[in-house]
Amino acid sequence: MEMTALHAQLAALLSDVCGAPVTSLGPDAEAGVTPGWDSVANLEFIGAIEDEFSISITTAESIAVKTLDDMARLVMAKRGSG
Amino acid sequence: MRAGSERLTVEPPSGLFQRRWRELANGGSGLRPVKVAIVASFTVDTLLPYLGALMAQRGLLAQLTVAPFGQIYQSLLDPGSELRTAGADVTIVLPRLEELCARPLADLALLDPERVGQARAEVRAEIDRLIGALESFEAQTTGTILVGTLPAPPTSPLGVLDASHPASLVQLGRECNVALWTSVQKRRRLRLFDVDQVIAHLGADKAWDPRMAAIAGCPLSTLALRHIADRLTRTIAALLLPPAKVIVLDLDNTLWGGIVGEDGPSGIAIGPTGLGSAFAAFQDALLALRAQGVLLAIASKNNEADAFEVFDNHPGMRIRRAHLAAHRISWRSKTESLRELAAELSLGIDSFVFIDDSPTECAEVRSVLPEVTVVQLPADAARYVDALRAVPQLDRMTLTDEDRMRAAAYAAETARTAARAAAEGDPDALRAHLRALELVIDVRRVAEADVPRAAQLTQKTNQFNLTTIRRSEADLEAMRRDPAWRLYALDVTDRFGDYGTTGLVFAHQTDAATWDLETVLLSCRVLGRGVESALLRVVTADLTRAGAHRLTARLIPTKKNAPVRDFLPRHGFIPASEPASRSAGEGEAFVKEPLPGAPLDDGHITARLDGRAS
Repeated sequence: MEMTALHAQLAALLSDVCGAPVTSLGPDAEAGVTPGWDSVANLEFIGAIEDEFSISITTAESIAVKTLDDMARLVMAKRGSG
Repeated sequence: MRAGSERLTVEPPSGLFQRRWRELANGGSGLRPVKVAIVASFTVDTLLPYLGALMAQRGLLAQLTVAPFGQIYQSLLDPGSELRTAGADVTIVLPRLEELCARPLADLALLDPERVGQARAEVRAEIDRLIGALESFEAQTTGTILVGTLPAPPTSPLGVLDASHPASLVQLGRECNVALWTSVQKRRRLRLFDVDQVIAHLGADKAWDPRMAAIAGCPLSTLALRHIADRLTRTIAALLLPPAKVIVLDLDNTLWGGIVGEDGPSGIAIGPTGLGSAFAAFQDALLALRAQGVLLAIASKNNEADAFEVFDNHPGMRIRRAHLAAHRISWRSKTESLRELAAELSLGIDSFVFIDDSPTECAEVRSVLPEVTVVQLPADAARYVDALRAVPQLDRMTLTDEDRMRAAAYAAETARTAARAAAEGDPDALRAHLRALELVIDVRRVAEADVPRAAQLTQKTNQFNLTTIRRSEADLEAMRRDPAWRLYALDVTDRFGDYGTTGLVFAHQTDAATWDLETVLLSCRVLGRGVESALLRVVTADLTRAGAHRLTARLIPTKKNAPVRDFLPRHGFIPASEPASRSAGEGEAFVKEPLPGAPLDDGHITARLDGRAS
């Protein structure tokens, strides 16, 4: 999957859980900074990603992810590895 | 459904809950506001979107106060705390042993034989302290307090040994829950909410999420939070909304397997074994609801004789003819039958639950009578009981004596109707009939024990109800303590039986000489017998003794309260020339003076106030 397509897909999932419009959720959007993307929304976001991509994200990974781009890279790596 | 269009269930995706919850923050118009306060020993912010979104689907707008997490005692005991000053209709308390008793639990895990007994005693003492704080909170506030049971810890340090070891965590949790249960038995506004059961239903591995604990301070998975929110919503709705009054059932492939008109009474499946046992279990579940006050009725396309052959003579049937409050067994449409049943039982069709296995019949009722709750049974009869238990309109949080006696009361009513029919059309015979009823009415001030029934009457009475003002138990508790209010309850008996508490008058003093009859209502079961005249006479006499020279009242017309329209004019009230200042509001204002006014035609009734002749 193209990185840009993945960004768009993640932005849509994140928009659902945090309420920010998709257009405001660029690759630089940051947890704890973007309005609505708090720790609770982050957990919902991770749950949605796990369901959507059939992957599992560890606690340490979810703490390390800061931006939407970080998340895209993590998803890409997980999908790549299997 | 009020907010949004898509029906929410406890299934994913969770984004939908978040979106619905944000929409509600912008108003939630048309929803009934409910003040809900929450305190927990862990972070509950994650619970709120689910709770708010699910409550909105029942027409309730949650106005939330969330106490700082981990401050259960401060919140319950400090008169200035957010929880104590919230004035909540419902206060939710969610404790967990892990936070409440961290130190003794750590001691238990070390298994020092000298310390095990003491650590257990410390946990029990902590629970007693919690119960004391809850009881004190109940005494100082007016709403209902929902206390979560203590969930069994997700894992025990002892593993498989836990079940039999003296330091068992699971067993200790059970003991604490028994202590909680014992403490609420004599406290009406302190109610338990079974968190432990919700978690057991999901399975511990799905209910707990250690990632959530690490990141959000909330140990429960989002799935568990959804299910807890769902159960809380059902509990809160059962506290505030009137439950369904009638279940209308289909027969073939609903109460029994097969088609009696084709297979014959001996060919249908109902009984103790095989497929018949699934239908028997369903009938038993329906009879259990009947014991809680729900009436059972039949709407079936069948020959009546075939159907009653089964009810009267089939050895496998649990539900018998005498259990039915009414029936329509004919070849007419289900919607016609439902309308007729509502008329016969004098109950609003919005209090009906319709249960059928046929998608066609269900679709017809849904589209023609959208106010009816429709339950389409699943394909497998073994799942019928689950389908019944999933109907939130059948939930109830209080069970009054009237509820338990209702089905029998309807049987007595059939006998009364027969006696009355004999006197129909002849005024002398009717008067003789009323005299022969030996009606006795007992009026008394609403006592604490009457509050659940009184709140229920304000919620459920639609026809003979002057203002249709609904009251919660908390409202009534507050009014009972206010000397400007006098709340009267009415009990009615006749020679056929006891109607129980079936009428209310709430009078409010507006100046030294004036009382406003803010609420006058009678259950439809006692209408048409002059009971309202005797009730008004007794209340007027009592208020006159309290200094009243003038009564005011309002009539707020609704679609359903035609029977009460002429009540005020018929009893000497005249339209008020100007709105009485403090009772001004919607509806038509009336006034009556001087008191007591002309004698009333209620000589056939023996009326008592607080047990004394009036």
